[in-house]
Amino acid sequence: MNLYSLRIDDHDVAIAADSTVLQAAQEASIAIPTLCFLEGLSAVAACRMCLVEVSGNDTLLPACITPVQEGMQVHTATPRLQDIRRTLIELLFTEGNHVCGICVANGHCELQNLAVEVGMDHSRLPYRFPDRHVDLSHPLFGMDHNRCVLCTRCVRVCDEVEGAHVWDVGWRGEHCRIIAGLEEPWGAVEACTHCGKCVEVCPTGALFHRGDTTDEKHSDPARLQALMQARQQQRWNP
Amino acid sequence: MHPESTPRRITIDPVTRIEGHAKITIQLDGSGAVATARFHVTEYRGFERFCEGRPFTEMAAITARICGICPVSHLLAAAKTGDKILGVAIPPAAEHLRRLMNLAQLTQSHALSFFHLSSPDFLLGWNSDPTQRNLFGLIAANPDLARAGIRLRQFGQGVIEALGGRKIHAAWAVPGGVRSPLSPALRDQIRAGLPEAFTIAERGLSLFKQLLDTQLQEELEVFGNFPSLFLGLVGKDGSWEHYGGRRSGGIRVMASDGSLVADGLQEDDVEQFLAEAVEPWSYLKFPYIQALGPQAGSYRVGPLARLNLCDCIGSERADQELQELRQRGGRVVTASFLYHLARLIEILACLEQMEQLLDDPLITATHVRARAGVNCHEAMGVSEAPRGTLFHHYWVDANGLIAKVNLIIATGQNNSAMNRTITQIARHYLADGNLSEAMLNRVEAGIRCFDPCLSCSTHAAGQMPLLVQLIGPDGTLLEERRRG
Amino acid sequence: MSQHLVIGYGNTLRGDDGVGWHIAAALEALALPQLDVTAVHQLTPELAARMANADQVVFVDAHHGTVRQPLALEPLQAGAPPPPFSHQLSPQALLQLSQQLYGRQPQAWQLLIPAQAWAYRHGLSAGATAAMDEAMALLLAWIRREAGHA
Repeated sequence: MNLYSLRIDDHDVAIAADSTVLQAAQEASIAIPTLCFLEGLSAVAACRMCLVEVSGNDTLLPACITPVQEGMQVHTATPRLQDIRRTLIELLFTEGNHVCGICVANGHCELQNLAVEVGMDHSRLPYRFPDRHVDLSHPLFGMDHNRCVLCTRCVRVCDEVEGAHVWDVGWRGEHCRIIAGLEEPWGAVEACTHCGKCVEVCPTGALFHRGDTTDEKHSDPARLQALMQARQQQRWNP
Repeated sequence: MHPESTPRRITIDPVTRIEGHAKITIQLDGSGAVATARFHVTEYRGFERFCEGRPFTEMAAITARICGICPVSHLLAAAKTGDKILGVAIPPAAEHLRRLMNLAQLTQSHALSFFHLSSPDFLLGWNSDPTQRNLFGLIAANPDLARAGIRLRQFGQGVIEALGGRKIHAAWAVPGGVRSPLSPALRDQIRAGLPEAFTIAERGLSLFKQLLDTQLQEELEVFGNFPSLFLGLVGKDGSWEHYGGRRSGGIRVMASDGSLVADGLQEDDVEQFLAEAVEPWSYLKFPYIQALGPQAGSYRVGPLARLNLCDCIGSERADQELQELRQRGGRVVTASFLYHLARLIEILACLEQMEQLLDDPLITATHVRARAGVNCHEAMGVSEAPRGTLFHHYWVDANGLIAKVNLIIATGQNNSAMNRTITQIARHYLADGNLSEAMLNRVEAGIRCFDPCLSCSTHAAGQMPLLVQLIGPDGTLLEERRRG
Repeated sequence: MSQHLVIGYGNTLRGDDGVGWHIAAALEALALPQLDVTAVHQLTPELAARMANADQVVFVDAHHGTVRQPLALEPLQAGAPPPPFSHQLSPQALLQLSQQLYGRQPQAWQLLIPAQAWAYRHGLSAGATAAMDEAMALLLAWIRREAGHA
């Protein structure tokens, strides 16, 4: 196996050449905040939370899709990055309608946790108050577009893991949103297998179990990893 | 034009912190006597907007934020409406727990009204210096009373937190039941607080009854003493009821002669039974019994209504107080000033019923939630809030998204009664068409009998004084006074 | 050990009216040692009991009049009885209550946040958002200065 050596912050890391910077950081126990990234799904670098600085490169690079290179010097927590991450979270909060106090995911929300992690105690940016709707047409689940951060985990898990491809991304710019089927009510999309993986991986309260009330959604993305591992290794009993 | 011979209007405009933009106008006729008095509320509604398009399961969490004083009342009304959208009977333990929370809510809200807001009205006299006739003056005269009121509020709050948790109580009651059971340890903790709460309630009662016997005779006659209907929930056996549910005997409407206008009325039928009048000068609607018209059909809700409507309370000490109340004011008490006494009796009833609930092993049972989908697309829920009967009416689409909401609140239902009360007071005390401090003190106190809640409005600081205005028939300002 | 208390209040369903509440909630989430924080809908008498245990208290509220710019802590004195039909007290009244009922009152300030939007909605206007940013910085500096930690 071909190994590359690189330096991340103050740590020297040696890692397989086909790894990403995020994997290398994890190897060195350096935490880089992520949101759209989820172990077990393809990486799409949609959220930009994992941006890092690489010496000799003026461009900030998303760690989740950037391949490691020999001799690379990576900085994960510069003041510039910290400011960008906080701003990104503020943008996510102000772009949708996130009312934590009545949200199903309150207290168990990755967006909320990230806000704490990046030190966002409040937003410095004005709120947009977009007009969005809730889709409760599915018999088991609901989709509240007000709380969606367009991480596309649901799109990927449905396509890559369940193979149903119920979800996709429709429209552009500020109108961009997750759509079910061909922009149909979720409950009308026959491809849906009702497996609930999209709900399980959703980092916020956008996808939820119908009937959940405030604070009641407890997602566990680790279950996806257990499933993927079991499939790859054909070992179904932990 | 001669001011003394033409209609004039006196306006009391408490706009401090723009809480509800309440004001009072007193309309004089040409002879200088009071024609009518009105309590204006110019800001109240609009909360429906939050709800439209949201899942009905969120209604409890949203509506509990409307009011800082009685969040539990909206919480329970929302949850009960949600139960009916699901079409389920909730587990008996859940009903016990909801009852326990409502009893705590009634206790702490009544404590605020009696021990802090209204007690200066009984203890300090109408002619006292307005700068002293307030909570501070009361404390100077009787600091123990105010401290006791705080203890009672802390007790009620402690019960609510023991049930719902400090942070999440806004969503503890859910369609189908409640979120979490009560642990035996927390049950014992609540029980430990009861003896002190009883002592405070009984101290308040004996103090207030003594005042009624000695110096508050005129208030009983003049502060909104008039025949009217009373409306509220009763228990199956006609007993005092605050929640409904399995014990519900429906809604009862009683006339002041004790005759029943309606009994066993289901909340679903209430909107056909009631009509709401709209007046250009108030955003609060005026509900009345449709068949009887806006005048004869106007009714009172709240503590005094609940005590008038019930045949008994169902617990020993409170029943004894109820008998005394009826000896004092008749089988159906029409004196609005006795709302204060009714609050104290209800506190006692709440404490006794809490004790009964805590002694029932069911209170710590762990099956507390029924699950179901959307089975009804329209539902009306009812609960007795501290200030009176609260109705939540939701219309949902096939998936459970809220299409429309109507909230009928207690303060609105007492709207007519408040206006009649201040009219009676103003007629009695307005001398020579002049505003006196004593008269204005009494008019304010008349409103306080009903403990109207306007706290759903904005609260921002920016102090504006209370304005008292005397306005001529052509709209000219004849006299203006600032209060507060 | 000296105790510092921040009380932020307002109605979060009425737009900028809730800015004081939002500021207190944000401070509470930071879980600073030695800082007691409470976010409430309105001021009620039992807060006096909590205040009697504090050495310093800051009240944070929205304000629809003219607000001193830049934002500043304004000293508060006990006084100001509650308005006639109100279920809520003023900060000044709470201070007085604390003194009368418990024999002591904390040193007190108010921090008024300019607010413009009172519509029925969750969340703050752009102006109140900017003011909240300034207020947070100011309060964090205050607690650092007074209690000697960040």
